[in-house]
Amino acid sequence: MAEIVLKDVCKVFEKNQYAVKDFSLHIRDGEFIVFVGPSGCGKSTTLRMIAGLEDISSGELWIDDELSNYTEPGQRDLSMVFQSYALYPQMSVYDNMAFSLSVRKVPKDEIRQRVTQAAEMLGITSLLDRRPAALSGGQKQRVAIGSAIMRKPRAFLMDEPLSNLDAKLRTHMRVELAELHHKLGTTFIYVTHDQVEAMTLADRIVVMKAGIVQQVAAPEELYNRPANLFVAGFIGSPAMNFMPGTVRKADGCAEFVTNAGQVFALTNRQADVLLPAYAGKAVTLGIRPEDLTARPARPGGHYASMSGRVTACEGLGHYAILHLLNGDGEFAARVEPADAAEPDTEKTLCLDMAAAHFFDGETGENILFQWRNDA
Amino acid sequence: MDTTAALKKNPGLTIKRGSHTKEELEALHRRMGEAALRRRRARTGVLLVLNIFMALFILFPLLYAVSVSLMPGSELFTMEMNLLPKHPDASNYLRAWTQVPLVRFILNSFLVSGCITLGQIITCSLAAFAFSFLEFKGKNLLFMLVMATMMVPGEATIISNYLTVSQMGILDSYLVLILPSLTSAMGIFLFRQFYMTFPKSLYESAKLDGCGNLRFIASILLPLTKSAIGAMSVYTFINAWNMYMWPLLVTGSEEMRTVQIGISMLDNTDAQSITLMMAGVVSVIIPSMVIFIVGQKQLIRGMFSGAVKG
Repeated sequence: MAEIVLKDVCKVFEKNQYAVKDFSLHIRDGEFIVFVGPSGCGKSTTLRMIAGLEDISSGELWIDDELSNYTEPGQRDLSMVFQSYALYPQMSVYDNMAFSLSVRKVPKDEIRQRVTQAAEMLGITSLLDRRPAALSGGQKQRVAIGSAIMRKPRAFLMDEPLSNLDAKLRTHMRVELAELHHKLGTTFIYVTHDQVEAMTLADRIVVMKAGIVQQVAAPEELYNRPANLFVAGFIGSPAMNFMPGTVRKADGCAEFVTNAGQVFALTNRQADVLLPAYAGKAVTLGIRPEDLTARPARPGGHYASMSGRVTACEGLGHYAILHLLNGDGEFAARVEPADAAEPDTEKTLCLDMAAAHFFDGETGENILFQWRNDA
Repeated sequence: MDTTAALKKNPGLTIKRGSHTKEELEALHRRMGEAALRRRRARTGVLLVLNIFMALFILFPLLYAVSVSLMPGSELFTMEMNLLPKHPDASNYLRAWTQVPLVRFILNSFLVSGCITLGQIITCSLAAFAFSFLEFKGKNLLFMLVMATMMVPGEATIISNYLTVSQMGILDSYLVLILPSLTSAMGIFLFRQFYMTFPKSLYESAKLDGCGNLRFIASILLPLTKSAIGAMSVYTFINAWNMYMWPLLVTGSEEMRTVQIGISMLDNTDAQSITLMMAGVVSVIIPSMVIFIVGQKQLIRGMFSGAVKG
């Protein structure tokens, strides 16, 4: 059980080359936090700094109100699950799970009891005598998790634990991890590049890019109110469509004009914020594929029409993804299977203006929603 | 038509699918299978003969030494070409073993080589651990320095080493034979290369489990690098067994001689007997050959495991 607070944590590898910069986060006790971002964004480095495997160049790490920058990894009482599982090949599953306790000189009887208990919880009782080499990927993963929970640590750190599993097993293990978190109630810090894992598992997601925190929010909030272009484009599949353009005043209302000349009328709320500050300036409109539909989803909603030539159509059973092209570039729309269209046909879609996001053309910040890191 | 006969007549004939009956095809399969087997056997036979010939060629000096060691002296010094002894006897061996304390020499060599091997495994694995797992300032520079010592020939340092040990007053003892060889750059390099392929996450995982460095080495690293240790042991043991210059320089008494020196005691101006010397030589190479045969799998696996993956 632990509350972990990071304050302005930096990692500098070489002179002025920041792997992680000013990382501040308050992780509450029992929370499931996911670090997500493209490779090389510093998410693993941050996790390793919390674990003590990397030195913290500057900033503070507090674990349960204790300054832990200089605490030895073994003394932090955290356990980590690695992508490569990190099982000791020469030891049986039982010994692997017992290792951390035997290092701590826990009595043999207690070790036996705890290993049995953890093995039952993970359904690996029948594997206890085997060597890691004789296990499948999913079983190895379970043993790695078993070794991690043995010690009843203050928090679990997981570095892409499901990346080596095949898609089906990954989905399965994801559900098991969620159950495990529910059962144990311990703090989880989880690193992944897979946004589905992030969205489904997390209480809160930390989106990182180039060593800098972009946004920290609950999955839904992250999806509905992305702080900037990067978060908007990173979360969601297919990705949000972006159209650069400008805002201008028209008779009685305000409209957004794309660089290629498409015109979309703004809602009153959008006009109130955009017109005074951004008239004539570069603005990017973002719209998620599911907000581009074949016909208005809500009667009386504020819709604009947008058309393009279909380049490809992916039917996925309960919905279809249309890929289209017009003067502003490629965009995707998510439509009912009945509205699927053949390639090379023209298609006009309804754009739900109320769901549109607007980003500052220079900074990429969300104009209608400002996010601030309160940690 | 008989397909096999047709095929024999015209090897370029293609067999089309569907144009032959099942029986014809089966017969064809059998014939072709037999032919392939014959060809394979012939190839193996030729290779075998070639290999045996090469082995004999390479081993000739050794085999001849064994042969000479079994000859009475009179048989060797003739104008005939005596490759094999006409009246083999073991008298040379008996003389070699009684004339000089060969057993003592062999025991000395075993003791010295064993201690050197053990010492090198301990020091080299610890040093290599530091060079591959720990982070400290000047690590690469230090490693390069260690590697640079490999380029200094032993002869260049032998005098200064001699002066050092004589000042320490340990000449003519086991200590002086063992001490200077307790570590080696080659061993450090070999272990380090091996440790570099060791998954780092195992070390990190052990660290998070609260396992100290020494415990990690003892309970995880060493058990997993048995083949490197095996290679290292064989290599070091044979090198130590074959040491000549250093033991010659620092030992004076008969009790401290190692085999390589002791063997030359069989050769003296009064009684020069090549057959006797050969008997001595054959006796002392047996232990190192046994070590090599026992450890050769480990040696090869360990030597190459760093270089080639898989």
